[in-house]
Amino acid sequence: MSNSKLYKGSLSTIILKLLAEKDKMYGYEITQKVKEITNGELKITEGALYPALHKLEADGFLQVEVKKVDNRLRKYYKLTEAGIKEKVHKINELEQFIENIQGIINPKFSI
Amino acid sequence: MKKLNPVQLEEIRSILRHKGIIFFDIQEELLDHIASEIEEKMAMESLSFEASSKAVLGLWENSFRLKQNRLLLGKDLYPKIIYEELKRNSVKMLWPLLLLSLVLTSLLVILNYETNELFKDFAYLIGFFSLTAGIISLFLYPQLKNGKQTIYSHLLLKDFKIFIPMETTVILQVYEQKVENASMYQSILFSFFMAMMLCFLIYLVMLYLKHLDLHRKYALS
Repeated sequence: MSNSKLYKGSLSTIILKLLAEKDKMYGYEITQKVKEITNGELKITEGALYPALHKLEADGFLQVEVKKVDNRLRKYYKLTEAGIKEKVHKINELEQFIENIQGIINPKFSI
Repeated sequence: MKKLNPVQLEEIRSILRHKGIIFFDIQEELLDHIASEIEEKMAMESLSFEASSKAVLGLWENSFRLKQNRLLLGKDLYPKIIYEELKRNSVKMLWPLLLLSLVLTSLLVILNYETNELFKDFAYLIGFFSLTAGIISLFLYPQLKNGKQTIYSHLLLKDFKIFIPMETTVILQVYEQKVENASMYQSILFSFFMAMMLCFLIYLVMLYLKHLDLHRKYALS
């Protein structure tokens, strides 16, 4: 995508939102889902994804499950109770941010 | 979609090890990601395993770029993706512990001022505790070294070296009975060492528990 910096601060929110919609997901699946939703516009790099996932896990928002799939170990992430609350909080924060940005770039002047 | 066979997976695993991705948890997670990308490339572009893996691994070069940590991790070089993990786990975990040790230092200084007897008992207790912890650590050391390494066992072994001089100082001070006749300055310094050692011990135990938890999750223990 043209300007990934715009998405950088929202990566945790994107991860939490995706995991809220599906019971559990693994790293590669998250990148593919984001690519699919944004029609390839947003590509999450592994260099940004894994530190974000591991931080959310360390903060207690995600829990991990390891399963053997296709001759290898697959690490699945799922939301914890705290993660569900954090998702609501982060989404509200992001919506507020979008509203503020819209107010700046598209101000409504009252007469 | 055709899946990679165990030989092909081992080939990627070996490349990851060669690139410095030595911690099994991160190695396995990246292996799954890279293998999924290779399988997709092989299916979509009808490429061979060799051509697909070369193309996919080329895109990962930035994450494998070596980086040096100038803070607590010494002069070792780590792949960027490992460096980020080490930084998050060591530096950010140590700050709260350092703060806690400063609070404990103040409490110990007050304790020494209020009742020297109780402070002395406490110093002996920490001396005994640290000696026991040191002996247990010596037993754990080979197990950590020979078992599958995690980011936490790596930090544990690395940071254990900082623990040894601190532990020796506390034990020597207690053994030589310097606690009784210490000046105010000496007792503050000794209190600080005692507090630091206690906090450091908490940090090492936390690392060890996290290491065990990973072994459990990956069903390796």
